[in-house]
Amino acid sequence: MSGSFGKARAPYILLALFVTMLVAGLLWGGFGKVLAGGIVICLDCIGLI
Amino acid sequence: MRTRRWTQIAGTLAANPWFAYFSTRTIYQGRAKGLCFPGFNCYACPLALFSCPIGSLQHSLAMMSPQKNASAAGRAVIQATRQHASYSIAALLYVLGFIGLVGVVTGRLVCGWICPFGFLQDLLYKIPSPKLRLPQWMRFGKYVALVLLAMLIPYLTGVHWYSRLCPAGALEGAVPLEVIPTKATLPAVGWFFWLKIAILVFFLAWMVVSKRPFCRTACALGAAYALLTPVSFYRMSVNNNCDRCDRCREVCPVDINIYDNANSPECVRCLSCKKACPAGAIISGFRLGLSGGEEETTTSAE
Repeated sequence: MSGSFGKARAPYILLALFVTMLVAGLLWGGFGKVLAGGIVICLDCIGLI
Repeated sequence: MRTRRWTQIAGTLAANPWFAYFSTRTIYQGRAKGLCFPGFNCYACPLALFSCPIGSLQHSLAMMSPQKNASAAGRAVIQATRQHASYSIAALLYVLGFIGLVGVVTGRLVCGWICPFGFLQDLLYKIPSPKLRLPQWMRFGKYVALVLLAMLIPYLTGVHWYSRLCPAGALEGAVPLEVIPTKATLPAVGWFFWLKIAILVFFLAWMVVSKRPFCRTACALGAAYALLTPVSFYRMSVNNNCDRCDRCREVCPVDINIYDNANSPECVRCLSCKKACPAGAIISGFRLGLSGGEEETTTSAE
């Protein structure tokens, strides 16, 4: 019974964890800035620079 | 045309709406590029508006890479993005949170319904040809790719090795940028470019003869979502009307028996099985509440 309840709770715990991480990442890094350097990497990765 | 085809077209367009590239010849680098698209779509594509979650994951880990361990190429990459290094932990939190959120809410629903690269594989498999079934052990390849190529090696070396070998990057980034280059002068392509093209050609040929081979054997994003599918809010189940006629297996794009494990990590939630089931035995939907009483819903063998 408790195992079944724990299994049912798992998605909610993970949901809370991931939402917290996502929001923290956005607030800490600044909306839209966090991955801004990625495009530099892209061109290297695809063999063009 | 089926609803799923429309959502796949919409997903492909939503990931790649930057048609201004044809007039500006500049890859979009605005604020939207700082956000991830849930499907597998190269952010070096001239039309891409958002970032690839796996490219971003590698990027955030590579930025945290200890310089002393980085290869020469890695050091160049780290130098190139030094101005963003203070965002590395924030970027990692954002990317992991994003992938986790999509995975825990939908499982691999994205793979089946909006992923542009999944869409391509569905289309190529329609080409008449001899068909090959993949051995089950090959599915572990995508988990190795996720852990080694997309996480561990980028952290240790500062080089994005998954992206470097990625056929989606070759198809959506390298080839279009060679055909319609940016304003910036790009040096001549080297041997690595041709290695990427060879990998792309290999996968394209494989997609014609096997169902979704990239999703099943090499997609790091699919692997991340697959890990969360068994606990995701989106659930599938098979009721006792199932007589194991295997019609579901015939239409399944990833060759699984839905009645053996309705919430298999391999399932891309395309719902082709549900549509094909003559007994109407397959049920799907978002599960809410803490009752925990409706699991697991496979039928008995007899």
